[in-house]
Amino acid sequence: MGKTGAGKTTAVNRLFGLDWQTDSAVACTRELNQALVSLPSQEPSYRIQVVDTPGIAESQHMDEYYWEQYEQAVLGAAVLLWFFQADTRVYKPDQLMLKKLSPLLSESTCLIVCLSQVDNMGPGDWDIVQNKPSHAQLANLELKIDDLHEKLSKVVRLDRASIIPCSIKCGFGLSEMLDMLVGGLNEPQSI
Amino acid sequence: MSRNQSSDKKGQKKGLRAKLAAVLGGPKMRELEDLIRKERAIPPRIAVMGKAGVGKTTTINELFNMDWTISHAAAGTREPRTEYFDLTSDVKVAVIDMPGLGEDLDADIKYFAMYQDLMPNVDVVLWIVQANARDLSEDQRILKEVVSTGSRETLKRVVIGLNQVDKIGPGNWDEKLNYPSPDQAVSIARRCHDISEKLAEITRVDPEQIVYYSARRRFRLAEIKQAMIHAAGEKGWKLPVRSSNPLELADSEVQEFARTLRNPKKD
Repeated sequence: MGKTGAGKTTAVNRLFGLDWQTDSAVACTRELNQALVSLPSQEPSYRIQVVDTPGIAESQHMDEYYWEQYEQAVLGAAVLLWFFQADTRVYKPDQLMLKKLSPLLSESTCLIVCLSQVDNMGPGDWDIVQNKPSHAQLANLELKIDDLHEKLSKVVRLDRASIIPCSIKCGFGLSEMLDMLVGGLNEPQSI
Repeated sequence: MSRNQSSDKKGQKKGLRAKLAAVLGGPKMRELEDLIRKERAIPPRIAVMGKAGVGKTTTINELFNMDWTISHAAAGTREPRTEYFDLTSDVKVAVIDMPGLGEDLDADIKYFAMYQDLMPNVDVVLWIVQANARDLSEDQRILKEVVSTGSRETLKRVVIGLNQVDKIGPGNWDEKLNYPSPDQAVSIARRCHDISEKLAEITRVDPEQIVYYSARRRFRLAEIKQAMIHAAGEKGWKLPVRSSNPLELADSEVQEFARTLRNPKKD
């Protein structure tokens, strides 16, 4: 879940080898996308159900319109993967939605925050040679994670270590994301 | 400008004044001088508003050749900041940089009141939207509750700037030309059309007052300025016109080529 345009569908396509429709200009995920996928790199191989949702905060009243889908998506989820676009600073819609969702999350639901599109972070000088954030971006990234952690912690329980910076476009942070995901899946499940 | 040149200019100005007084006659000249004095005493006020992180300060820096500090990660401007810019030697423009909205549940209420207080006292509102972020519900809410509650006259004073179009997907800005790549240009048009529709739905702002640009790349600063001058109505003539030059950010060979296009005779 996360705001529209954060890169949810692009990320799950890349992580799980799916081919769901994406659009770089307008919101295009209008209904829940669901698929059973396996994580072949893991031993034993996991079968997991991925549920991709329409983005929040697209337009006034759209969150209410999508609410039942959001409810359906998070109920019983082992992991809630929350996307936040790194070059933005508007936390309020995320705070409001997480607050509203929190009663639906079970004790064992593992919240992972994907700080997406870090290549676009200020000052915008991504290290192309080593494919990683520049020195200046790295410094900003630490501040960004602190800020995001502080803002979201007001409404949900979130470990700072569960905020994973990534750029799907550049293929950065994907393995960290998968490791975190597998860690979340291994948490004992309450039924 | 050297001291000599500047005293030359002053001398010229004095000479012109004497000539003008001779043509107009004493009473008319005094009338004119009064008018000028009055206009100078009320600089046009431009308020720069928008959500957190949309690039308010960067936009001010590039539009007015300023050097205000920019925050790349966490919270930026906390209190409204007003700066007076010199248009000519003694005509000024007031630019008000507002704290970003939507950043946090707690801070928002205070900022919201601040925005509402300011609205009636400004000549131009430059509302900035981050074009590469797709969430618009907050912008719609704020624009509706802060800006559109005013009269039709208030609406005319609003310019909506869609900033950071250089980061719109597929994100392949042409660094050498400092210009959108062809497929990015298509995305930019689609994205900005979507934003315009979503905002017009709520605000009744004229489409001509919605302008896309990129402050960081100095892309279409002139278009923003033009919309602001138009929005300022009678005070439009008082706005400064010079902005940063986008060509300076292109490859040096591109800059050179562009110069030959402008001055073909030298080629």
